[in-house]
Amino acid sequence: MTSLLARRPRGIGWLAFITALVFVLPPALGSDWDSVGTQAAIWAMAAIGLDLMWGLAGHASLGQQGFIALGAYAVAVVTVKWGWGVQAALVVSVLVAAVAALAIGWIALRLKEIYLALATLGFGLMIPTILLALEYTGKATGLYGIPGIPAGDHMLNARQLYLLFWGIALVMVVLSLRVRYSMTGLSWRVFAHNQDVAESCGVNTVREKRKAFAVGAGLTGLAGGLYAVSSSAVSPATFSLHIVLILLVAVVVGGKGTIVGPVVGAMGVSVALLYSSKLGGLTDVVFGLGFVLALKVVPGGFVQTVQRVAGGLRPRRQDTAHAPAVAPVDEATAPAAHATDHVRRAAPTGDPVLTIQGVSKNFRGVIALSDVGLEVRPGEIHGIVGPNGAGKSTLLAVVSGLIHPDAGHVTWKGQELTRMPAWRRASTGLARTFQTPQLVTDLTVRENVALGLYMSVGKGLVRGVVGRERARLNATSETVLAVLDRLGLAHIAELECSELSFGQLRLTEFARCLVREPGLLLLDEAASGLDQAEKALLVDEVRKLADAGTTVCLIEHDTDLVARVCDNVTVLDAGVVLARGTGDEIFRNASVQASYMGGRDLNGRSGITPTADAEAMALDAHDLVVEGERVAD
Amino acid sequence: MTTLKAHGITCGYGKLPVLHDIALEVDPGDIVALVGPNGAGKTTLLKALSGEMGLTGGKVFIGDQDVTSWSIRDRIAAGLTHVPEHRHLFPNLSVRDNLLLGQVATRRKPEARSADELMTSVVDLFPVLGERMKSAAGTLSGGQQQMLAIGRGLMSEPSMILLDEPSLGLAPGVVERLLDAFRSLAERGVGILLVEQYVESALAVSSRGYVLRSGHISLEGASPELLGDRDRLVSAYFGTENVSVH
Repeated sequence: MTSLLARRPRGIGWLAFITALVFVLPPALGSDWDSVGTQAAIWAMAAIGLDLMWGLAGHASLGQQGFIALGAYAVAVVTVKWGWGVQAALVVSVLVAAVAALAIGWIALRLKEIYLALATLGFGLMIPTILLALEYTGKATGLYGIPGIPAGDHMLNARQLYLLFWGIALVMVVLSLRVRYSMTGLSWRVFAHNQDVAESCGVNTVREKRKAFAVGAGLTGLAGGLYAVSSSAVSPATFSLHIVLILLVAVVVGGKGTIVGPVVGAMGVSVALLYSSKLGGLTDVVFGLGFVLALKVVPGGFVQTVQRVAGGLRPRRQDTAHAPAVAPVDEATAPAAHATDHVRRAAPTGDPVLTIQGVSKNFRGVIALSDVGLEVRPGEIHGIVGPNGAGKSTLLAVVSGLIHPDAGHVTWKGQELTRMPAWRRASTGLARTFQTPQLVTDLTVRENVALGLYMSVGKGLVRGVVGRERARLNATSETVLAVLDRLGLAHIAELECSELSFGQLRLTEFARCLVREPGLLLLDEAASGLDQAEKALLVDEVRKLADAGTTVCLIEHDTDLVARVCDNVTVLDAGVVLARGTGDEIFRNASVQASYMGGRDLNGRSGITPTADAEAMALDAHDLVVEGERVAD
Repeated sequence: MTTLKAHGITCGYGKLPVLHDIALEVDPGDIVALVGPNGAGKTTLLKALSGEMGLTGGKVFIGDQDVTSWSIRDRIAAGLTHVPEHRHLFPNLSVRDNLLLGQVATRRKPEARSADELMTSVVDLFPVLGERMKSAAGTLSGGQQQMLAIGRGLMSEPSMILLDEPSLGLAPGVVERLLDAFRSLAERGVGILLVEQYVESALAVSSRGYVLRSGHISLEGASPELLGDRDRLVSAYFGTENVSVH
């Protein structure tokens, strides 16, 4: 049984490595390590928090010391002032930090990455300053007398505290890894790189960003709470910008986005600090040099570097990246035969299911769409063609919700879509591809396609980490692999998208739509960049979908393909509808030939062919386009 | 005008070989088509010629000069320009600035034409770029961005140009104009290596053609001859073992 996002539990090796370090370091480094190592566990937890926010969800926070301070002071106030137990106090520390993150998120998460980072920086500087001024928290002196963790009739000793904290850190690693490999974690990793893709797959990115921010801050707050417990006193001066620097170094050098990397990084930083602190005034110089050197030795992070080296040592089967050149052909020639013999099905009847009425859109004075109307029937394949800049992609963006029109309406199955956010449209059955394939390059083909199942698999954070949704998530891998197999991509399922050819990228994006069995499929430049065999495959799949009832709108410049596949075609020019009709009619239309085809007809002849027999023309089109079909003839 | 020549080209990504012992020649004034299925190594071959990708074997010559170890910039200065597959424009810069950047490596040459003159000829080819000169490149439609990428390539007054799927995303009418433009460039003595998915139109516009399959040249020859023997072309494209031609 293979799982959707990982064939075996990931990170087991790294967990073992970290656990080994936890036990090996104390005898190796001596008694100095007990307190420094406990501190390291706190760094590790805060680094995991930062990695969830930044490494997974793509939002760098420079205000981590603020969350740590809140967590620490929450524990101090609750235990010292209110007399609560330590365990309850730690829960409060998580909640306080998470709530603070939600508040920041409310204000700042709509900002672009760098502005958000600056906003958090301001927050981080603000918190200690407020604490410094507050009478209740003891001003500059802070609060002291925070009870330790009781173990029977005495308090934990230094070594026990060290082991306990690292135990907590390891549990945090395991849970965070489960987040990373859940559908929620996948959606975070996708919107961190590409919000449009996430939205079009049904991810409410605003909500998910807030969630990621709150979870990361909560863990950071817990780290602060544990700090308060371990040091028994808190004061504002402790929470300086220095903390942010250490966490950034831990995450970046350890390996951003890997969860285990920042933990290893936190250990490394702590060991480095232990030794460089003995150098007196040179501490910061040596630490800084070490950081620069570390980036040089492990570019892209320690964990990634180790994985790359290990991957390079593993013998790589030739066919992994080499087969694509040949393999799809075997599969493609068979469907191509069907494509040739495909009887033009009766034009779909029934009331229009997608209606676009009077849609207009201006971009700073440039008119992209002007009073565009369109009706598509259920199961219809509708082509949208026109010169470059005619507004075709803008129209698809309006239908998919990535652009809101200045005027006009879009309805789908009687539902008004016009003001519906893009992510919600996914639940009405919409799926789309993009003009340039939009895939997350450092995720594998399989992971990219899996996001297509976001709507049908558990989206809940908790349910994704534990519970039944996780089992359902694993079960869907069959769906992903079956679709990849149909498109001749099964052999590259585990390759990262950065290694694919352009045609494979386009088919992978198509696969992400296919797994959802969409009701309305929007394809922007459906076949451009595909080779002959890949085109035949795509055409066959689109026809199968339409036969099964999916409504398809496709933009494509291969006029032969459009004429053969589309039931109806709409021509846009300069933002207005120039003509509409069946493919054969459209490409014989003189004004279409003039504006779009450079005054040529479907067969590349100059001038108009008024008497051309539609059937003969379609046959010519076969000859022109699909090399693969000729092979199979 | 100079000849672009390469032999023994072998290279790949990491440990994965993509190209095996490729030999190829583009003479001045020649349009040479490079066709083949996706994943065959067409884009990689262009990168190997332009200097974007290091070779593990083989040599690249511009005229008589061995340029194998030259930087991309030096190759552009020597007349070899690459219009890459993914456009690689600067989306926040204006159309004009993107075009001007195309001249960076060559504008100090004494014989270089003025930027305005070159831009005028680019606009002649793609009038829409003239209308959008001051717009940020990122606000152009996909097809217009493709025109800009090609236009930027022409700004260095190349004597040899490597075009990676120039028709991608362009309307058929524009493709026709583009092919006409390539013909007139060739008449002026520019050598063109053209990668295209549209096998027939690529061979129709070119004088010679190469079919690349699985990193090997599986067929080469004069384009009319290649077009004339379809069975051979098809089997070179798909690989004989996969062909069921009767």
